[in-house]
Amino acid sequence: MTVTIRRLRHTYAGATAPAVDIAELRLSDGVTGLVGVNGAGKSTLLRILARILPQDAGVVELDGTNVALLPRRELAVRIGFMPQEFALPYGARVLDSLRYLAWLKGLVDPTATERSRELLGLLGLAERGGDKVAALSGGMVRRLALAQALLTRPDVLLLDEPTTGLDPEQRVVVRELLADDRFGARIAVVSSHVMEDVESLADRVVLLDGGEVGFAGPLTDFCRADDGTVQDAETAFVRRLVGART
Amino acid sequence: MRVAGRVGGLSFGWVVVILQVGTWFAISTAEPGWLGSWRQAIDNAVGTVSITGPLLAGLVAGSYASLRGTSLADLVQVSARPWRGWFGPALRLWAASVIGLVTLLAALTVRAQLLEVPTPPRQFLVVPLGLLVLGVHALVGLVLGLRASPRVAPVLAAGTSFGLFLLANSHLAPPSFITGGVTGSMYGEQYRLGSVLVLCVFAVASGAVLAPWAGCSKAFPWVRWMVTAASVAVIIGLAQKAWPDVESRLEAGPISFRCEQGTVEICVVRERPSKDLHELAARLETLAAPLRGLGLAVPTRWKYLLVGHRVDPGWGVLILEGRGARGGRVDDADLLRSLARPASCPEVPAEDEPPSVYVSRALVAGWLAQQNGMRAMVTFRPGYPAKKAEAWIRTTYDQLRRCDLDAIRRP
Repeated sequence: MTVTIRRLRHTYAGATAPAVDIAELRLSDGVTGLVGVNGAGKSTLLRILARILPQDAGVVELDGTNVALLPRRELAVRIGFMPQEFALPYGARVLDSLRYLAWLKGLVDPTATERSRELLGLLGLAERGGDKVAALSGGMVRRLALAQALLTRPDVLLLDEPTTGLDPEQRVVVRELLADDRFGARIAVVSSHVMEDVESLADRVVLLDGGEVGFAGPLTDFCRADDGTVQDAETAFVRRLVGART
Repeated sequence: MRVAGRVGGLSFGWVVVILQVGTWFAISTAEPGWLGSWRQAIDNAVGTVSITGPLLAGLVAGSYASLRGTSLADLVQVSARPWRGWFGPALRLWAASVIGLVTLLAALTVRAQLLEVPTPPRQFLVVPLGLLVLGVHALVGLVLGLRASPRVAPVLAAGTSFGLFLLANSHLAPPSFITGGVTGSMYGEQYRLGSVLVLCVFAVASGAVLAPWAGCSKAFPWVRWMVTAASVAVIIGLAQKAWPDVESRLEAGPISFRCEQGTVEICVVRERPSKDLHELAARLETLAAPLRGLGLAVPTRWKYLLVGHRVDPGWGVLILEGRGARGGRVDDADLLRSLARPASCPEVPAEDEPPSVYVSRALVAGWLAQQNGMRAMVTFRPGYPAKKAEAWIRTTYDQLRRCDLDAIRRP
């Protein structure tokens, strides 16, 4: 399975420079870490891939088919998206929320309820199904956000800063969850500016800088310096960022 | 949808059950007099939209304001069911308000049927208008809920919705927001089809002004502006062409009278058949005795005067107001007012009558009340000679009966 991006461009209203300007990018099976500084265009790219944000120009293809031409129902099933800022109405209950989100994705009962319960169990929230969303901790809300992205067992999983705002312990929990094969989508794109997350999850890296692709390739290549030494991902990130700007 | 669109802590199903039980209980136990005019009851029921509409707007606004800052808008937008997913809460609340209104109308109609009150179907013309206007109120709530903070949104939306009703009364908003609430009995009147249709178009256009701003997608802003501008143009164009039509949304309708010949003949509209006409005739005769004592000819036939209908020459005009019109019992005050109207004088419309006529009729009724040992609202000034008063009554009553209204002078 492949996601191909061609001549993709998006400029926000009032901005002078495009938030995303990608000539060509290919995402294939496995986990891709999408890295870049704040404002590099990571969230914009993921929102375009999730069809939340319409691009100004360019094409996104899923296995050679323009996703704009795919039926909405098929897209809802095949693409799972975990937004950076995930929140639900504070009065809603956890299981009800997940069932509702399953219904939105086209699932109907009893499948919607069964899948919701299954995911709550897998993500360690089985006991919290009857609680209100407002009663969940930040880490639990991130797990709930991940659960809704996984409801349809999507082929493409887009995770926008999945560990943002979590304490180190919660970050490890979420990271372990993401590494769990039971959730495995064919293609997963994980945006993060926490290089530790990328290092532990991704086998490939795409570096965005000013909306453009500064690097795209295997994690091992990303971490290898010009002299052949292997650096940690954070050092490699800074090196490549400085290199891209000089 | 159970995530949003709940009313307080209650689910949609419970709201509907409570509405049903409450309405049927209230209508089935209410004093039936007010049902005498089923037309007015239906009109007033639909008129409650001016209250339930703002409530609905407030609830919808609260529901959508709670979605602010959540990810639901994005997730709904890319979902398999974007329309139902997004508009679900508003639709459910609207449906609850529709069920509430329809329940009220059904309960009123069933009770009226049980009491054998005529229920002409033309009256239901106003119901679609009420449902459409409820939809517009829901849209007001949705649009403001998406833009105001959760604390402010419900009050702001409810206030705006009620403001539309007030502005409609001042001709500054489409008249559709006045869905009912006539003060008369509506006996002999019915809704004019053309006017109600125009009101419905006004309501749809009002909804179209708001609808483009109610969605979760931010795409195609120019399309939203165009739809809104076109809808505003429709409203303004319609207002200039059809406003006079909707100002008079009622017209005279078919009506049947029930007449009974007692000491005098009395004809009342067949809307509330339980009125005891023999008892009414006897009381009218008794109250008229002082006039006969002055040698005046009091009409022996009396007919209830309806908007758009005539009372034949030689008939006295029976004036029934409020409970007297709708219920089984007619107050003496109504009969005294009727006795002061011994002819309908159709050639002189009420608005063209000289002011002295109105005062003189009130004085005749007041004099009659005093002669019958009752309290009078309007009387001759203290110390006015009784003989002089009787002479004035004699002259004036004769003038009223002959419709020589210009000749009438105050005492």
